[in-house]
Amino acid sequence: MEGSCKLPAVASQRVKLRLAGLLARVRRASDAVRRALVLALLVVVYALVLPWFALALRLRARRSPGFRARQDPAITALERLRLPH
Amino acid sequence: MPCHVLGISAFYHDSAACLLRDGEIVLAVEEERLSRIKHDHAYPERAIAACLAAAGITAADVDTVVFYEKTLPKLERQLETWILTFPRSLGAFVRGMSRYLDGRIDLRRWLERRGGFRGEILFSEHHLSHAAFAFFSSPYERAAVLVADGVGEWATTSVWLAGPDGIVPEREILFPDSLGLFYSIITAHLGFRVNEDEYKVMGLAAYGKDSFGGEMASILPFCEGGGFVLKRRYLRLGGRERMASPALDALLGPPRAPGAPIEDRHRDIAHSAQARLEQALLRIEATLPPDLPLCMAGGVALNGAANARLARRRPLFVPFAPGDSGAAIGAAYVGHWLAGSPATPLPARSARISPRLGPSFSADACAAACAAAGLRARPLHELGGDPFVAEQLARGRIIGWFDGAMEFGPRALGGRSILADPRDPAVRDTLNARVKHREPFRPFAPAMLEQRATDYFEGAHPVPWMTEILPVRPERRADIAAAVHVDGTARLQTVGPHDAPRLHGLLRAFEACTGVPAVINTSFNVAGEPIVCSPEDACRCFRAAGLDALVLGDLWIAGADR
Ligand SMILES: [Fe+2]
Repeated sequence: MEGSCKLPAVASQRVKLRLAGLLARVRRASDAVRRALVLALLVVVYALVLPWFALALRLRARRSPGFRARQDPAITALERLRLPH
Repeated sequence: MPCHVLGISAFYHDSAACLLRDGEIVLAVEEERLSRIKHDHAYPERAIAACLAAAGITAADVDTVVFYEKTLPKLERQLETWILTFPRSLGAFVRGMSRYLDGRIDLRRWLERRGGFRGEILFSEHHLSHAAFAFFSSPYERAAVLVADGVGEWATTSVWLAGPDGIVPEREILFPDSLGLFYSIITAHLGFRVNEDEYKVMGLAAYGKDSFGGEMASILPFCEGGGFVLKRRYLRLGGRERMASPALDALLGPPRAPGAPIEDRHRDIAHSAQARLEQALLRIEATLPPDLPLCMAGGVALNGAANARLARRRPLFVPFAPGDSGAAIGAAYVGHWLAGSPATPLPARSARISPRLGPSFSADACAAACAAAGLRARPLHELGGDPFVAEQLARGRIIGWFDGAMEFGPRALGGRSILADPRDPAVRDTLNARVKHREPFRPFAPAMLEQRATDYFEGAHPVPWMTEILPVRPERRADIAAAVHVDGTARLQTVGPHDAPRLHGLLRAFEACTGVPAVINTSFNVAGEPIVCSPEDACRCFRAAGLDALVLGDLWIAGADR
């Protein structure tokens, strides 16, 4: 049992080291390389994640059309204005 | 210690900054005027620097910075649009998200680092900023406020009630049901640029007839309580290309390619779209409390023909920059007058706000710019002052007019204008051919002595910022022939002695000379460029545009001397 517990620990240690090494390389890389990496990641996220959200949004009930009332007297309260949402 | 509040609008179109000191505007300027990039939407670095320099302070001295909209709901709306338009939205998603990941997703920290601000950083709402600008620059103690634009965070149309206690929302219509987007898809279908050329559709509308009324009703059906729906199938979001969908093309016929000849069908589509927009606004107006005047803002309030129809129903106030640049002023007002309200008493509402809020330049700076450009300038007062300019205008000269502080907003109102004689209809073609290179169907606006406007216009009232298009009396049309549109209307600017004192004097001199109390007033720029800001810009534009003369403060530069 001891041995089988150790194995994943060693493996995760290895993964951590690899990730740290990778991050260090990314930090050292030029702006252009980092930008390309971000773009590539965004494309991957777009292709793998967005379709599921698209499905969920399509299944969501539609809003009723036209004006909706808005009661929001605290819209200019300082605490609200401090929030970016 | 004076209290400084800085309002900023940025990252969509027409970035701007506005600095208030104890509630009074120190300076407000659009970034495009300083960067010389038309509709510049970048962080308004130069505009902010100009505001701080005018107040003699640094970013660290600003007590409150107010960004004109909420960043996270806007991101949420963009994400939802990208998701719903998968996979067409890949490019837009990657471009948009990489901008956010540059640090803007945490805009407070981004502004602190980029701008060096140390004070409070607040986030207004997009439509609240529009509403605050409209209400606080209006003369009304109480008003209903209607904001209508393409989209802010989620709201596209909102109604607010404003009074001594502040501004509160009443109701709203959310994206993508939008009058601004409706007009934009028609703009795209007609082969014009979205977010830039909407006013061309309005100009074209006067030439058409309402033969597409049924089609417009199916694109923008109305519902109860003044509401409307923009039918999704006619809208194509998420891509980089035009916003009109194939379904729209099937409904209205093939889209016009940019630069292709304009046919009757295009004129009729423009006419019917304009009519539908006006109907939609009038239906909303009919649901407002009957005893209140109306303030209106948002890009839709740039539609002077619709404004004029609303103004016939009840007192209407439209500010000089109802679009997103004006929201920077609104954001600053939110920070000063509304934040934590009702702590600050609301301002007295008597004095008319001036749009001349931008940089001004000394006589020395004007002279230096002329010298640097190799232009020979003569003191105007030696030639007879502005009566001499009026005489030159009456002789058919087209003259650049640079006087005092620059206007804020899309219209030249006597600070940075090109002026011409309105009596000769050929002036329109000359202006178009030599300077503006505009489509021949777009009219030029007249600036007229306020006290004479009723002689020339039906239903005339003070419109100092060209916010309404009014019918010219038939018997007067020949007097201002170059400013009258094909349907007998004109985008009037009334000039009172306090609106633009020097232009007022020039108009009086022109009237003494010709009997006509008006001149053509168009913005001082060439096609594709923002309105000039500095004397250097004016000299450059004067050279490029083939103007007959330039008035630069008290300097006269004749075209022959170029
Ligand atoms: Fe807006």
